[in-house]
Amino acid sequence: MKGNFENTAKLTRFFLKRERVNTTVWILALLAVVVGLVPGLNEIMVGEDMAALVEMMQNPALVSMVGPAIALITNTYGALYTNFMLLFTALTVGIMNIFLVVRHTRADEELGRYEVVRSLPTGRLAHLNATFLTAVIVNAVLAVLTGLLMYAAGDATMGLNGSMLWGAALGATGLVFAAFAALFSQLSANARGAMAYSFIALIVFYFLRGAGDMQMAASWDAAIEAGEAPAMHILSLISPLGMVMRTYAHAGDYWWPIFILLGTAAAVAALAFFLNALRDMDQGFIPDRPGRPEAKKWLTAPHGKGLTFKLTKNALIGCLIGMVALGASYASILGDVDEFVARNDMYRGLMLHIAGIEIESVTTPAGDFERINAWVDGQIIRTTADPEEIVELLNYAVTYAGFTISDLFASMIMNMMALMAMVPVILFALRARAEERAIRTELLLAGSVCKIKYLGGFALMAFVAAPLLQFVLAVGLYGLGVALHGPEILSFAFILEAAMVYTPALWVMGGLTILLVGAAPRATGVIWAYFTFNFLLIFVGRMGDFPTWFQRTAPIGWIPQLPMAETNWLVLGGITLVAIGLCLVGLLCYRKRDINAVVG
Amino acid sequence: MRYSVEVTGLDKYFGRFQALKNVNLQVAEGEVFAYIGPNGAGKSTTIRVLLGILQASKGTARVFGQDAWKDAVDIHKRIAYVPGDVNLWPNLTGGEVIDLFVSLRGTYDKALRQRLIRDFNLDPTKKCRTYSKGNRQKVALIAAFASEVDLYILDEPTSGLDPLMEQVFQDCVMEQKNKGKGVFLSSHIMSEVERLCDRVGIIREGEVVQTGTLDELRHLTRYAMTVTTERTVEGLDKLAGVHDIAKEAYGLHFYVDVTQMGAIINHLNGFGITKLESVPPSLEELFMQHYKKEGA
Ligand SMILES: Nc1ncnc2c1ncn2[C@@H]1O[C@H](COP(=O)(O)OP(=O)(O)OP(=O)(O)O)[C@@H](O)[C@H]1O
Ligand SMILES: [Mg+2]
Repeated sequence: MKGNFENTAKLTRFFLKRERVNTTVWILALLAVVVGLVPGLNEIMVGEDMAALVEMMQNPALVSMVGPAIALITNTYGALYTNFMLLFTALTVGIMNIFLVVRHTRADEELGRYEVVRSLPTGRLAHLNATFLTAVIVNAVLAVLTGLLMYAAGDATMGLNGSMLWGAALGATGLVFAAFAALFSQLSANARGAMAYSFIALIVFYFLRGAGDMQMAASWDAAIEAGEAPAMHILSLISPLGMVMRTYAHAGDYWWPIFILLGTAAAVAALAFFLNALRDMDQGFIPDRPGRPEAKKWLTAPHGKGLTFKLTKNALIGCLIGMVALGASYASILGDVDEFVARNDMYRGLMLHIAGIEIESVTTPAGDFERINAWVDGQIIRTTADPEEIVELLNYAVTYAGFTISDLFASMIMNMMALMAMVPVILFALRARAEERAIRTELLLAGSVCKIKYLGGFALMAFVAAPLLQFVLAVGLYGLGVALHGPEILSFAFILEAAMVYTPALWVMGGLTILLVGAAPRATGVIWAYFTFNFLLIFVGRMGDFPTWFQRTAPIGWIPQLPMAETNWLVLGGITLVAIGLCLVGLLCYRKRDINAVVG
Repeated sequence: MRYSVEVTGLDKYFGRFQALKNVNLQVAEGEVFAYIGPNGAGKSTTIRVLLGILQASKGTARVFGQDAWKDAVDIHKRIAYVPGDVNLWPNLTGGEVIDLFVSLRGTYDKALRQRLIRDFNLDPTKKCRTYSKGNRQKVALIAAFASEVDLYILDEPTSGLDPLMEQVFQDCVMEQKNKGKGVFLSSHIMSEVERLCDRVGIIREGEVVQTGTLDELRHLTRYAMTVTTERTVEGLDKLAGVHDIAKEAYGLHFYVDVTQMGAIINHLNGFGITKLESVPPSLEELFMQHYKKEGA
């Protein structure tokens, strides 16, 4: 069919122009992370710690997350970097490509832009073709820049060949997911569906290779010691995200997986083109599932409460799952915490300082290692001249101070995760404002709906979410911790209490958000500034000594950190009252104000 | 007389900008009232004040005798609102939204709901994200007419409907009118206004410039006249209320103020009228005159 691709070049140029901000930001951010971390991680990893880190890559939990222990093959920094970074970067590039392609295919079609383009003298497949060409150009640019810059930033263990392979691996994986997104844009009749199917594919591929990599984790070490080229499991290799690791960049540098990835991309893209030629505009191959013709009873609950629940329910479930997963992923390293912390300055500071413990490396004036001192409460309690003894020293100091290393670790996790839990709590309260901005609130308030009870629904959701999030975090951490490392590693009562004490601080953030929605609807962004302040205060505050009053300017600074402090129910009760007070003032202001007034 | 809507001395400021200036309106119960005016005149603002979504800066707005702001929750049990731009929740189906709106108002007639869905030809199983503008409007209209209420507040409710659906809409309004229900309708579609409305209020730049029945409004404007006479007409231009005289092949063409009609015909009679045509202004012309007046 002649003319099917007519004017592809012009369209491609136009698409690239449309992408100039969006994709440029993506690429720059990716480069900043991938290349920027090369020297940074080098500083942290190389040296005495590296052997331990390489060893750690064999941990099955870690293998399931970041891929096979490639670092073991050559024991170099380059290999370790690939081991840590390649899979997640490739995953991110995949996400970028899914957004890119769906934006130009199904989303354009849904918005009627595709129709306009088709009405011009363009070929039937030109739109898809130009989209795909755009993806090719974007990924090629990303690949080349990553390769060159990584080579420039890397040390001797990151050669040109390996660096270019790294870039190519990203680009090729990106194209595979571009092709899948193009395919699902043909199959599904709307952009949301295309996006959802593409992400499901991405997640399935991720877990498929996880399963495969775990199978090989045990035999990997033996294979390397026998001098064989380590193999990957077939489950890993049928997943593009497994195949990308098979390049063993900086650890052997195999190029053939790149060609397999490109071949896959071409085959999937060809199928997408074929289906595109077959179908009518606005049609898909997977029919839209018809929804409910009538509302369930709970949806129509008075004052919009049912609707509020519906609007936030899925996000809450997602966040709860995420919280369990985060808790569980931290649990997976519980067994190695002492190793991990002993060799990592930052974690050591974050975890130990607050318990009054300091592990200090003393060097001679010439800069050579001299000894390690363990301080507890300002006194040196033990010292050693053997750097290998740092782990024992650490364990001794922790026990001396009256704690266990797992408890201290859990305490740090709770502190950090409470910050994470703030985000959904704030978002649920902010949803009321988002609804107003989308001009949907007034439709609801035109019904017999009390404004206080309407906004109260969102406040309720935020207030209920807070303890739930903390609870599942505790369950995830404790559950997998005990499953992997035995029951004596943590006590559930302790974990639960350490998690739940943060609830009032989360409530304050929720209450503050409601106050902003009610009293200063145009300044709701302030809550994110305050959130960042909380974040910095905790992060920096754990390592240094802020005065108490300064800590107390953030709600989370009031919360006792178990096991160093005891739960003070009076203080927690007071914080809760503050949260409720903020919320009530917000509700009253909301009743008094106009809905959707841009000015005033 | 009992009023469903009673607005007195209403001012509304957005910051320093005054959107409504001393608005006075009275709509009797059971009356169909058209609220018209150019873009940005303040129609939607007035309606939002009536709904208690915006608070009056000055003056009062009462619906069924209750304060529109303070008693909003009570009032809203008896009214249904349809805006011109209907924004819905993308992951709810049309059917779910209809049920939600109807149940928030209270009473619910299931058979009526099904009939309206059929009449408006809506697929209630589709997610709102996939609805066109017209379909979203249908969702709001069905939810409104399926509710048992006493007053319908409609703000350009048909701006996205096709002529067939426009007809269905007008039938729905007529049905409610015959049941004695009141309607407060803001619209730019003159045929709709002409067919449905008992009284009209015209707002320009935040001020209500006219209210009255269509006939009353017509009286304030000019009729077009064509006349042929046996003898040449003289002195017509000296009469009060005669405008834009033009000599055409078929006779004399000019516009007259309705109030002067009698005097003018008397004058013409003196020249032996052979043919006389007088055409009332079309609604469009009528509104055009009001929209432009003073501003010009
Ligand atoms: N929330 C707001 N903040 C500031 N100005 C507003 C706001 N809402 C309306 N206005 C201004 O008030 C004036 C009246 O707007 P309104 O929406 O009532 O007009 P309208 O008569 O409904 O017009 P249209 O026929 O276009 O719907 C406009 O000048 C508008 O810009
Ligand atoms: Mg309007």
